[in-house]
Amino acid sequence: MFLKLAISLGLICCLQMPLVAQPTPQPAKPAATAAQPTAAQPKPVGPQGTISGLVVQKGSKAPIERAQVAMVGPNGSQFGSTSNPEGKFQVKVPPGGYQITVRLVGQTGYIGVPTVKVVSVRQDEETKTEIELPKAAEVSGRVLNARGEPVQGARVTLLMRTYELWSTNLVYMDTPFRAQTNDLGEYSFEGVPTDIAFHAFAEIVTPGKAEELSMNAADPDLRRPILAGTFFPRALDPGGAQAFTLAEGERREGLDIQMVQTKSYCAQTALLPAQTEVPHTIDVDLTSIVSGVFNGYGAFRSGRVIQLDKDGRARVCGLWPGVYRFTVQPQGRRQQQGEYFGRGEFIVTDKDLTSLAAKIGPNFNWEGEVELEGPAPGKPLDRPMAVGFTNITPTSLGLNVQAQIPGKFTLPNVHFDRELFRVGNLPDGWYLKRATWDTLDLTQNGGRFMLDQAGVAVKVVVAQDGSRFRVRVTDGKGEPAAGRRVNLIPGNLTSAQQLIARLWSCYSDDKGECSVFSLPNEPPRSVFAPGDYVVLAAEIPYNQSADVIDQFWSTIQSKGTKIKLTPSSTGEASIKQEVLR
Amino acid sequence: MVRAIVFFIGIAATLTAADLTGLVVAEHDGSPVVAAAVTLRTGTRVVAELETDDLGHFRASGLPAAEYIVTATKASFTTAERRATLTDAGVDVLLQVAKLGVISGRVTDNQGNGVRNFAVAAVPMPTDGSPLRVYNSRPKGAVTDAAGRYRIFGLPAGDYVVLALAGNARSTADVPNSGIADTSHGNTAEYYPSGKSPAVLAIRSGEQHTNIDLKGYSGPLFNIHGTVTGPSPDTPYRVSLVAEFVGIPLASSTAQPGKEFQFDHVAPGTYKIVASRQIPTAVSNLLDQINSGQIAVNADNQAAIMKQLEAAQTADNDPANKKRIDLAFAETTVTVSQDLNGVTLSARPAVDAKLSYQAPQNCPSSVQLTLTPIEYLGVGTNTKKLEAGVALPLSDLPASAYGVSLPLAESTGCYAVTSLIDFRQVSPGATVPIVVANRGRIQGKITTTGYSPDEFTVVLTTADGISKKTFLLAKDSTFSIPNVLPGRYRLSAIRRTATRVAAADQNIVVESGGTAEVEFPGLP
Repeated sequence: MFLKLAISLGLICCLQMPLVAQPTPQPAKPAATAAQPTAAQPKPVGPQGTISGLVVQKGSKAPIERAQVAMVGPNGSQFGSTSNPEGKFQVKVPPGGYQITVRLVGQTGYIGVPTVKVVSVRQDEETKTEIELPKAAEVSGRVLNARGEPVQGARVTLLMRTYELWSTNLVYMDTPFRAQTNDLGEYSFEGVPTDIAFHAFAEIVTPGKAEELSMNAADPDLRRPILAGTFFPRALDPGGAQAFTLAEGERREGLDIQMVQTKSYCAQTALLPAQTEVPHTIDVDLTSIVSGVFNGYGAFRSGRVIQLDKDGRARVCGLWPGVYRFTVQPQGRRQQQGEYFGRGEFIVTDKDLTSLAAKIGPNFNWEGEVELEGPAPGKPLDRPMAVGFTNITPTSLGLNVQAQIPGKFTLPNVHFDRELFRVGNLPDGWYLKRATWDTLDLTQNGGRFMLDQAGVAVKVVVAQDGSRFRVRVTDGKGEPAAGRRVNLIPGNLTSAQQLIARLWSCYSDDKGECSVFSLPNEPPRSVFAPGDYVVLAAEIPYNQSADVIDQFWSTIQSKGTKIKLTPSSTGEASIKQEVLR
Repeated sequence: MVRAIVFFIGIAATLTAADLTGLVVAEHDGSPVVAAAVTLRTGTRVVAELETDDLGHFRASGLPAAEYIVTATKASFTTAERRATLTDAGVDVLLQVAKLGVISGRVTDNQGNGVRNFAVAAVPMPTDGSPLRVYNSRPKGAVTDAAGRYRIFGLPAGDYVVLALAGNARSTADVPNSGIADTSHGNTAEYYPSGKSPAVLAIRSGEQHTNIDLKGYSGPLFNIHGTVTGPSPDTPYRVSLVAEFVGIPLASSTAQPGKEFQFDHVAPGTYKIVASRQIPTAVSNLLDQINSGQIAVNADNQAAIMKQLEAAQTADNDPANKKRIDLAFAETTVTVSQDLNGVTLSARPAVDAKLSYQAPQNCPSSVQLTLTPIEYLGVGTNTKKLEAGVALPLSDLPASAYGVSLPLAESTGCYAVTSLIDFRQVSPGATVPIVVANRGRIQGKITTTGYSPDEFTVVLTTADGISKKTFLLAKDSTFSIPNVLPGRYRLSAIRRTATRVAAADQNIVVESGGTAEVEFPGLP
């Protein structure tokens, strides 16, 4: 039982990092659960004001109960509440600017995406606010085969066009909207957001057993045709797909997907040395569809997972013409001896494949060295720094070791994977200037990189001349605006796609100021490398569709404010709230 | 001329290239099954992948003479498999697939409005006539849509109990996650057709039952509050609110020993409350918090949560830690018509009993025995190895009722006559004998006057008509059905084509270890 639940929890994790860091909703306790210790809530000390909110349905103004309310206030402090049956909530908080995020989770009929509002709280005063939640849309249709007959058990997913760090092309990100067709080929989704252009994608997901190896005829001409993964309405290629955007409260019916029938191909090859004792699997999926984080929830996409045989061979069948990526990894526990990791891509055209190009290797020790740029500190450092990384995969395994400045370090038993490189424990004002590995600087791409070769040491350079930001946001009257999102990007970016993993954000404090910035999944940071940056005060919609990223990119190019950080200084700017367009 | 013919035959003898043809029909009405996937194998090697045409026919030409395994599959049908020996003359194969049933309907409130987000489950009745045992019975299910509609498909012929469940728990097996139901309907289980008591719905092959409507409860809801007391002072209990009859948990929570538990929004009715210690505590605590929304998983904390879970899992897999998780168990039945306070669950220790086994003739001296809880206990099936003449002490089972079976011994023709043990009725230290007996077999032959015997199949039906199995004839028109449980049966010889011809029925009695001989002479 817990295995099943653990697997479902695995779905929460994700391969792709969200572009947009979201305020974490303070957990609310649903009324229907049994007694549990209540979640710790920061106890406000000192002077206080009150936020009194009312959550209603947009249009009808009907009160909505059990909405989760999260408040982010001065210095990143967080408060949470839940609306009562009258739709009301009330929280005592220290004075300051608050960004209130309200969303409904687990209730259908409403969009599970947040509505955001900014309020200002004064000492001993009550700040009243009304938050409207929009009605979601519904969409339904059928999946049909080439004869127009219903297809039972097809997986239908709503996909969103997005950018991905690891791909030079636009990709289609999986969302939590996923359904299986019934015996009439029907599928349906409720609670669908109305501000995103979705693509519907239908595919047959066959369980991948090792025995599958022999369950297809050796000669492709003797195989039964297959139904290929198909975009609505009947496109193999996303280029021929039709996107749809739903209106508030809309019930869209008849979104029928006619699956394309193609010949069936197999790819068979040895991927690991014979007699590898640890069991391994291969996960094969289309390169054009990726996992991601949608509205704070992971949409983890699993392709066809097939166990390799004991001689390290895999045979994957039921492939239609297209571009595929694959991952080879050990089953079960990680970071043990005798494990291999790796990735590759292949293209199926009109014949079976007998070899797959991949970078696969055994676990290895990764060596590195820390250097200090600039003058040595006057006195010896009292503690070592931390160097390490986290796998940007569902395993999310991390590794940290201590390193002297200067000094050498070893990250033991690492494997080929997508990694997030990070350092910690640096003295105040110090920062990671470069991490040179082969031809790459790992500080680029927000520290994300593909670890795909062994035997190459990493050279980590830290410097002491770090700089800071003080960005002030003002409203229309020139008064400080609290609780506003300030976005920060490096000044040398040249395309919207480069924003992935490089978009820092901060919410202004009660003086309207921002100096501590965060990237999703990383600790906040106040010290930055000297150089050119651009800032923009603007809210970004919760989703990371290519449309949103493009809008942000064009807005920050036209309305952004450039800041040049000189060494050991504070870069200042006073900016106004802008709207993406 | 003559030489030419000889030459031709000579080629044919070395390079036989015959046709394997066949027909796939629906078992219940003999109608052709269109677009069924047909696979031809020799051993594990796939020789051809075919699809039936608009008349249900398939053909593979130019195959070498060999023994083939022919499999037919299609969505909404059972899978059929047959062996076919291909000779120079070709071979024609008949495959019968059974259409799976459908139950559909609506869940409505008192005003007749559809209620969304109810999980509707079709729970199969055990085919051996024993009482409903939902836990581990793999119910199929569906969740109602905005109009309260549901559709459960892929149901094998049999008897089912249909119920609508609302609650904050994930239901067992195939019932999809219902999420958090609308609180106004509370934690509840409503049966078809009459609400609080189940009735059996019989589904024959291919039947669609379309108006299986259920009423979701609307009315006052109540709270249940109580404590768990008992052994194992240092680890918490998982407490579940379980639907009566079917044993599907509606809601779960964790109670520290001697501490309190509470279930809110419970609809009136009778429920079982079960407390058990089997679910590893660290994992269950974490999952409880995630499922209840206390931990909102998001992009920022997911990596950390995954790590916590892995750590919890590792800790639970640690044998040293496992020992610490004692096996205590408690249950009580409550009837809710108002708020219930002070419900006490007194946990008792694990089963203290022994099992014994005497091997009858033709049964192995060592058997694998599975004990499957017949009610929801929060634990799964337990497997034991029993040696003839050696009493096996039990100490790792919650004291409850278990179904008994010998899964591996079935191939030897042995079965457990002792089909149920209720350890609550067994005195401490007592020995429970597991009585094992031999199954019987049926042997027979058919003779025909017109049609080829190859076109007939034999169908064995239990006396109550519930369970049906189809058997094929050997080449010499005989049939042999091994491992038949002793009892009364009806045996039918049936020729199926596009128009159904039922040929003959006979009633037979199979005795333990015996062989029932049957003949169907003079079929058409």
